[in-house]
Amino acid sequence: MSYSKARSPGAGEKAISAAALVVLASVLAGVCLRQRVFDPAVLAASAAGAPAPGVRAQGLLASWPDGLSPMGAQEAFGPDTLSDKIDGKADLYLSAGFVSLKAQRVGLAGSPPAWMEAFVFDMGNPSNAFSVFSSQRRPKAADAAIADYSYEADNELCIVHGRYYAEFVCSDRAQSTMRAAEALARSFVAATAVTEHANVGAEEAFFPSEGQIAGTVALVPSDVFGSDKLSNVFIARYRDGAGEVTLFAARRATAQEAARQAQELRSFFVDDCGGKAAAAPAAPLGASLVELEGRYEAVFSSGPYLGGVHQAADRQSAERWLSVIAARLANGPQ
Amino acid sequence: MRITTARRIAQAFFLALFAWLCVVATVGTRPWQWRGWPIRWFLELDPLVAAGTALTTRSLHPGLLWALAIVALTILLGRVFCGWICPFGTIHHFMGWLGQRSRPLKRRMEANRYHPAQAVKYGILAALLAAALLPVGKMALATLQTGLLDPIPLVTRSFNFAVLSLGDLAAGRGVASRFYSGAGLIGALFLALVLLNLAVPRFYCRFVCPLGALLGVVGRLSPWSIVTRRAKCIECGLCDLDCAGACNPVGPIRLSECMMCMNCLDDCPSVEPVGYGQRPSPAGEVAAPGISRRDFMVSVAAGLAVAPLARLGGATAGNWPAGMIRPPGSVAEEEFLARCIKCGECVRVCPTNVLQPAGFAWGWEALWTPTLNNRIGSSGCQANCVACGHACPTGAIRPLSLDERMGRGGFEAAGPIRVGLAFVDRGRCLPWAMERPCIVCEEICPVSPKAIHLEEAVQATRDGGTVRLQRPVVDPARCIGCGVCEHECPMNGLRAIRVTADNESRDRGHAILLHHESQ
Amino acid sequence: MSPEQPIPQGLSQTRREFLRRSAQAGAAIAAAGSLSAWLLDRHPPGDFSRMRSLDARRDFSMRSPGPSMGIATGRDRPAMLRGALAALGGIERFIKRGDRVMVKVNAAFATPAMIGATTNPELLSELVRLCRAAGAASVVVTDNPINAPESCFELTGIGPAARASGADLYVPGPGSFRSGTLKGASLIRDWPVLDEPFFGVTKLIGVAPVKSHHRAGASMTMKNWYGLLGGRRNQFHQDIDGIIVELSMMVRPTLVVLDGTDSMMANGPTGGSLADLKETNTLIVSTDGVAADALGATLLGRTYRDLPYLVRAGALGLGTTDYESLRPVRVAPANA
Repeated sequence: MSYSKARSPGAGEKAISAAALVVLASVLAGVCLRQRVFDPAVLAASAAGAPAPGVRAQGLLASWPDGLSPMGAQEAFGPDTLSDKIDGKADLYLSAGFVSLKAQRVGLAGSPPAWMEAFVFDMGNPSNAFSVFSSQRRPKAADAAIADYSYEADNELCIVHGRYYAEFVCSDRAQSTMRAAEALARSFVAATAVTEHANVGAEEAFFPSEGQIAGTVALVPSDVFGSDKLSNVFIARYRDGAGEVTLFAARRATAQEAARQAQELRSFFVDDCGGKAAAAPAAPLGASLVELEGRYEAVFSSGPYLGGVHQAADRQSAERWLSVIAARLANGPQ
Repeated sequence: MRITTARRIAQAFFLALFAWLCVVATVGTRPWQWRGWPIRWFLELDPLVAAGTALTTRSLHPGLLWALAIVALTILLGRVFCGWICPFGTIHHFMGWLGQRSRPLKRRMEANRYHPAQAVKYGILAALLAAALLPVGKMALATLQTGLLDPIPLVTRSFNFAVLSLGDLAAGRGVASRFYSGAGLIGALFLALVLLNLAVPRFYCRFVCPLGALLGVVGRLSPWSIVTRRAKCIECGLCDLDCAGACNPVGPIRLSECMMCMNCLDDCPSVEPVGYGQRPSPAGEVAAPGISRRDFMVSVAAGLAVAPLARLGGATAGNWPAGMIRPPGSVAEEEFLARCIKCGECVRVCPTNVLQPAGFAWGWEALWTPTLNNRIGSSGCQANCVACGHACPTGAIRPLSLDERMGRGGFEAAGPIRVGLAFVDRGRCLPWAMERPCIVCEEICPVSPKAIHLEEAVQATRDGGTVRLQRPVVDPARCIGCGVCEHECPMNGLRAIRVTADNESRDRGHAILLHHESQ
Repeated sequence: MSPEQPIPQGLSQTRREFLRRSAQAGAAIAAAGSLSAWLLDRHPPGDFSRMRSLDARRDFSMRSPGPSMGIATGRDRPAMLRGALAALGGIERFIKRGDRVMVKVNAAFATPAMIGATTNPELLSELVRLCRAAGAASVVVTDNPINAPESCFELTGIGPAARASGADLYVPGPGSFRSGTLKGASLIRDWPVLDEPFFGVTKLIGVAPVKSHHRAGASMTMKNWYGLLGGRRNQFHQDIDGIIVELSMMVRPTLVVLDGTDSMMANGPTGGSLADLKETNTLIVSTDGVAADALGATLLGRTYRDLPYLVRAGALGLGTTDYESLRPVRVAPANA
């Protein structure tokens, strides 16, 4: 093209050329950034291999106990679809590490109106499974001695089997129906191999048995007492005069971590909830006392342990229970 | 840096980017696959795609908002798109240079003189837009044919079907990797248009390109242009030497022809006479396109006649071609024809290669639009794939979610998307016609529960014995028309089970069953 | 570029010419931009909400003199419903001859009626019967359980009860929804809302049980309108109070019936065990859902202050949280 001289560009021309190159560079950058966000079609192609939520999967059991038979297809739900099945209760499971839910309705032969629905939550590990099991334990629960942990409450049977938490909800509370639920639960346990069983014996030992309300030891997975910084804390409820009080305890990896979390919980009560720090000259282990809406909170740490008292009715009660749990943790739970 | 150098860099950049976006148009997450590469981007930038579909549908598909950027750029600076960005233009530019470079100066200057026939492209534009003018409706007198000549769809289609396929061949991937029916014609047309540059540089851009015409009309609003100062000009005509647009820079300049290639700045023997500045050029300008009022009216009239003529065959009415199976998510046929620009992105992106450009068999209006051919490719239309709709820049194929495609997650009542229905040809089917056992179609049916079941029969044979046969029967309530059975049928020539567009979801009028019971 | 030289016509004229052209170019770009914005297809083809977003508001409230809240105590739901309605002046005050009534139940889960996660079928039957007796031309019973709607209606007993008492059961499908926008709302915008069964409806009654709700605190008559939403509504769980308030702006029912005969004290909204239920022996009929829910909260051992959506709805004037100010009529029907 340039048959003649090499024309030397003026300043304006140079500037415009440079601007054009800048535009090209930004187009290139934009295109390269764009390619990192996958097109829905590409995502769909990678998702197509995975089993679809809410569609027919293999039945809950390969063979069914006598008199029980599946009603309709088994349903499966993942974290995105869990609330389609259980609506607002999904949060409870999601915050505790939910992996998947399989739900299957089961009919009872001979008595047409009776049926039950089995909900099998895969919680990823036994600790999570225990957590959702314990945090929604029914008040009138009676231990059922199936699997790692279990109880029966009227028309419902709930178990922890390794990383699974399962609920068997019956359409009536008749003995025959509940025994069928138990048979189903046992078949599920027998047919489902787990590598690790749930065992919170060590943590249960945090809490003395005297005054403890049976079946109230629970693992709170997250948002303990409303604090989003605190997770995985065991609690137990105790009779305290006419009312109740909650003790809590947890073991952390290091003493520093336990001390830091105790401090964080204290400042949560004081700074975020507007509690009033109360002097606690007699409190063991340098525990902090906080008065919050007429109730008392106490927090301490001892070695790798973190513990305290939640919602004590008065100051004396808080200090008394504090010494109980502190003595337990200071000596190392047996 | 000289502005012409910047322009050449830009041209090389956009051509490379365009080629890359064609190469990656295959489903996958590797760097050389689709991932999130904006494979529709050049089509979305094209103002003629936006204008054409806006006329036929009275709406603007969201991605086509990009075209506004090109329109604004053109209003400000003229046809920068043609000279700097258009990948097809760059190919012409390069070929033109190749053809001209060893020729004597005089011939080169003559080759780039303005020719009155350059007005033809405005006629083409007028006719194409007139054909798209009357809205879709009961009378359906609009057809979108801009894609035939619009350079971006044209070059996309040519790359997708011909250039890249030849590249596949050269890379030793073998001729069997992808097939495109009718690719020969598409490739030959592309080759012819490219080779014409050897005779007249940028032949297509100057005489044919409807997008260039559109930008020419819009670009005359620009406050700046090439300006020539006669006082210092010796009228040597060297500014024509490498002029891309043949716009007569010596003046009066043809504004709507100028492609902002800026070569005249380099070629002018003096610094002064030719420059870039505020309009009007002292040497005068011709702002209006060179088409006469009469020619314009004739073009519009001819364009208006296109759609009614196309529809006389009844292909969008009772005579709809049952053999033309549209990809899943396609809108009903009249709107499909109002949206499809024949770019071939869906065909290119189809992972099984079952999607093909239609030839003339389904009427010339549907030329190069996508249709399924179950004999080509590695399988039928995959029941869990939604790639084609997401590749479509104009919404002719809807970008389905996997849930909608498969009829789940809230779409249970509607059921899966059906593109057609399989029919057993009992005169050709082995167990039906020839007493030979075969259950391939039943085995391969990917629908769950299967849309094909087997009917047991005991048939007396010619020699007096009996043979036990299982004969395939299709359940229209379950079949989604994916064509996997047709693809696998051992009757190699004309298959014994074939899909037609009957019962396709996109048109209630094509339904076979009154109710579609959900599964 | 070449530096610009003075041009013979004179600078000022060139300048004017340039300004005119610049203005022209600017106007052309603005015109192209506005045209594009006007033509822009916000719901590209196939989007099931393609039709223009409708006004999501559903106002079936009535202004008729008389008490606006009736509270019945007892165990027999039909008797309590009759008693509470009689306290308000009878069903005839609300349902006239020829009315087409929609009853929005809570059928969110496919659980047995016994565990109280869904609307009680006996209560529903009685309500439908009363509406028919008052001359209603039709009664349609509906809800939108996201998962397996048919089994939800059948297993809860709601479907059989509706059919037996002379109502039509409407099970939503994808075609039942249209994109709706609620004026002044930030969440209900271009969102699929139940539309089809509303055709011709003149009166709307919501019937819900009293339940604790893990996310929202409690689920009563206001949360019950959630079932009018379609789409992937679980994203609203991020702002559950906000969506409940907006639903109360969207839906102005003729009446709500809040069933606190048994209340689900814990493990809601699904419950599961009878152990979750407590006999609270109360049934509320009101024209004010906020007031009904504020009273319902007390059955769960809480007050409206514990439920942010009630506080916000009260502040917005969607109803009153001070239900005593409505002077509720309390009745204890014989043998109920």
